[in-house]
Amino acid sequence: MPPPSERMELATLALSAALGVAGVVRGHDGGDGRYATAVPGGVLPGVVVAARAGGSYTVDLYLTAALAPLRALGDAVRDAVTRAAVAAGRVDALGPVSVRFISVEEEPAP
Amino acid sequence: MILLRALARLLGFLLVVALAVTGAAVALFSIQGGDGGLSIPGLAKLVGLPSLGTTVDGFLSQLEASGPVAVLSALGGLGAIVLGALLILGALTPGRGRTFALDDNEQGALAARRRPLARMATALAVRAGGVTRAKVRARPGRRRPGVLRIRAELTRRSSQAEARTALEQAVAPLAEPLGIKTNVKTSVAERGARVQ
Repeated sequence: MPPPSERMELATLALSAALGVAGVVRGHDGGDGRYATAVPGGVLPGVVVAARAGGSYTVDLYLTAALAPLRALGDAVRDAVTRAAVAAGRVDALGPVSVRFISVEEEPAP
Repeated sequence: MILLRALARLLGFLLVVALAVTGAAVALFSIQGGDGGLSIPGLAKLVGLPSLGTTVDGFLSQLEASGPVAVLSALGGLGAIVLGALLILGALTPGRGRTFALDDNEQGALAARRRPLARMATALAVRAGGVTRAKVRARPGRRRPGVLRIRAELTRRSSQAEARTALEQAVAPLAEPLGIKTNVKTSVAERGARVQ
């Protein structure tokens, strides 16, 4: 199995950071897998990472949220991804981080 | 505007189909040379171009002279110009889309689909006092974030004004940070309906 690319590592890091934010339920693959990233050993639903000129990557997250204020939740997700990239020493590779809420689950946020 | 956009799309599709069929026919009738069989003159004969030319000649002669045909043609031309302008408007006017753009800058975008936003607003609205049932439609704006249209049924004892305020307050934590407006309409629930 080939080692994961920098793009795959960034996708894993971003989705993991997003799922760690209270109010984010899961990644949403769009229903037909269009919002997903293939990585060695599986697929990451709800994250798409694309290379940009200059060596960085855009990160697009497609999420299912709990009942929570979406603006604050979106900002918290972006902050969490940035913090995770800094901690992993990948902040130079991180470009714009976009968050889109595709669905909602009506259980109240913890 | 929705009708114009649909008409522009339908006409665009029909024109593409017509162009494809014409192209295929011309390609097919380019196989042979001469005047017959699968040749371009053969295709012209098949679709009746010579007789069409005669008809058009006669029509153009009538058009040059003053008379009812010229008036009708002028009106038809004006109608075609107006229709063309409307179709261009329908084709170029952007649609509302399915997402509420909450933020978009160089650090990235923040957006939500209509349905999760509407479900979230519904869940908040039914918590408002005196509301037996609520339905929320989220409508993204072309330039502004959009509007939440709340239709709520109230208990018979509820005050409409108080319920309206309660509904606006209930969805405010969702709508205000996103700059989304709310539009509340209330009605009295049927006998026997209860607060959820």
